[in-house]
Amino acid sequence: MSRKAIWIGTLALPVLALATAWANTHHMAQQGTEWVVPVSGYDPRDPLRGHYIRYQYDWPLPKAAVKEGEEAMGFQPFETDPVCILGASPAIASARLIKGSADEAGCVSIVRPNDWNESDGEDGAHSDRLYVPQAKAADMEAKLRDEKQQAIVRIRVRPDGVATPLSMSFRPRPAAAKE
Amino acid sequence: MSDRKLNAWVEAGLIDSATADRIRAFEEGHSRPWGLWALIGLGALTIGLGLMSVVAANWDAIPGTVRLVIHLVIMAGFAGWLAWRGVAEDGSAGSWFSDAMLFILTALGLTFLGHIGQVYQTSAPLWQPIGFALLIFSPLLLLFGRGILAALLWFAGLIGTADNHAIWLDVWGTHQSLWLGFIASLPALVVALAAAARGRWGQEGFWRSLQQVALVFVVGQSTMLTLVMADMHNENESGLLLHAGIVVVAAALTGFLKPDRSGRSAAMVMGLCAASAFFSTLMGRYEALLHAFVFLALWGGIAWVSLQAGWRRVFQTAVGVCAVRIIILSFELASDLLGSGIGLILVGLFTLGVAWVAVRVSRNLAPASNGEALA
Repeated sequence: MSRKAIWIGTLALPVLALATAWANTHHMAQQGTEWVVPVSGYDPRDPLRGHYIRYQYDWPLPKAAVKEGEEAMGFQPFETDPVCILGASPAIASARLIKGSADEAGCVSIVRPNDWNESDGEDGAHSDRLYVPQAKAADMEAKLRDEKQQAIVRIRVRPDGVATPLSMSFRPRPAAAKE
Repeated sequence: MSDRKLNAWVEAGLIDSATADRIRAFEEGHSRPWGLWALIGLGALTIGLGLMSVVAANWDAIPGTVRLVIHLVIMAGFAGWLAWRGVAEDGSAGSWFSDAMLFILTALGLTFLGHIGQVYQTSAPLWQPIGFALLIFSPLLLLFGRGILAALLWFAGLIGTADNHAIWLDVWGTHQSLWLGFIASLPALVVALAAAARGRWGQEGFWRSLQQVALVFVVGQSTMLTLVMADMHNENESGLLLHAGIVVVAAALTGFLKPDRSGRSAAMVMGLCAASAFFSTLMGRYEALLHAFVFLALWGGIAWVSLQAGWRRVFQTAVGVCAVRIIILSFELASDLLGSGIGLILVGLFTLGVAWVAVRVSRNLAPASNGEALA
């Protein structure tokens, strides 16, 4: 191969590789099922970090799954199990935690925690972060703090269990939820 | 060239007026329109900044796909322009410019990965995008890098990937000691790689710079290790011993592949690094005197190698580093003496003595500067 050909080849390689990476990411982003999940601020005083809103998923888990003491104390139990989603996209009928591999039967979608955690512990299944434009950030942060508003995140769950947050919206919180 | 200076030189009798006229004629023929170039450059810069501001202000209003297309088109266009322009000859005046162009292309590529992540809301451990960028830009940088800029860029990519990978393993709680030891030895292997490349594959400037950068990094690693080991509980003993072993092998390869004075000196410095890593790993913590001894042996050895190799500035640095370490040791050992006034006075006198000896040594014994840089 001539020197000129190698020069052109080495220049073309990164451009082609990045185009392929983009195509692959785009293809992966089309996969999976969309769901709408209620969420709450990860840290109610500080949901915004940089360009990202951090939040945790309030999966509609069976009441028994939540330990009574923790609920009384107002803590979210720290979970590391995959989440099984039942229902018809995008409305979730119910969800449960998967405690073993045999427990996956009947799930429409399964959200699996990342096998890597960022230092803050967002694992993609129980907590995550959503990129928000700067102009909307302050407004969304205020709504997330507002107790009368219920935050909802639309996610896309791929067959391999990776959940990608797509957008965040708000609806008035039903009065009954206050108990 | 100012007329005022030329006139002054003619008046002082330094040059005669015929020479001054010839200089004027020469300068006139070779004058470059710097003022015009500066204006053109300023105009281009202003337009560029303006474009960036317009894009930044409307960033959220531009659909992600459009942004990515623009980003990729800019990158492809830039790469195409470089391909058409051809590669700068090694050691030519265009070397710096050529490296700067590769730097810009790499920056465009790395930011494109971040851009994809932002548009598609994906996330990944940091070592993965950096490692991917390292992979796809390595042929370009290793085959067509010309000097220190490309060498630094490639080495930073390697260290960025390795370190973030190690941190990621650590966060995830897998203590793969041997693997971590191997990752820590990559810079030493780069020194050996550069030794193999120098004088064989061309790009002398690039490989020399890469060897220097990597060697300095290896010395820094071993120095940090001697300092950290004195205070920390060691959980990675097997990994560190593997690291010391790989550095020995890399040192031997370096000396074998480049058997001249510079190659052998680099090999000896790495041998010292391996030995100090080996001993400080095996030593118990809180053995202040022993750890200081290893440190001084490392840097004393580097001073000795510099003496043989004729590295004047390295020698002086090594002597200074040794002096500082001895002074710190005197404070470590005299921690109870410090309570008394006499102890303070003694340590102060000792510090002055060490400083005096260090200055004498580095002035009188340093090899004459012969223009050869490190390695």
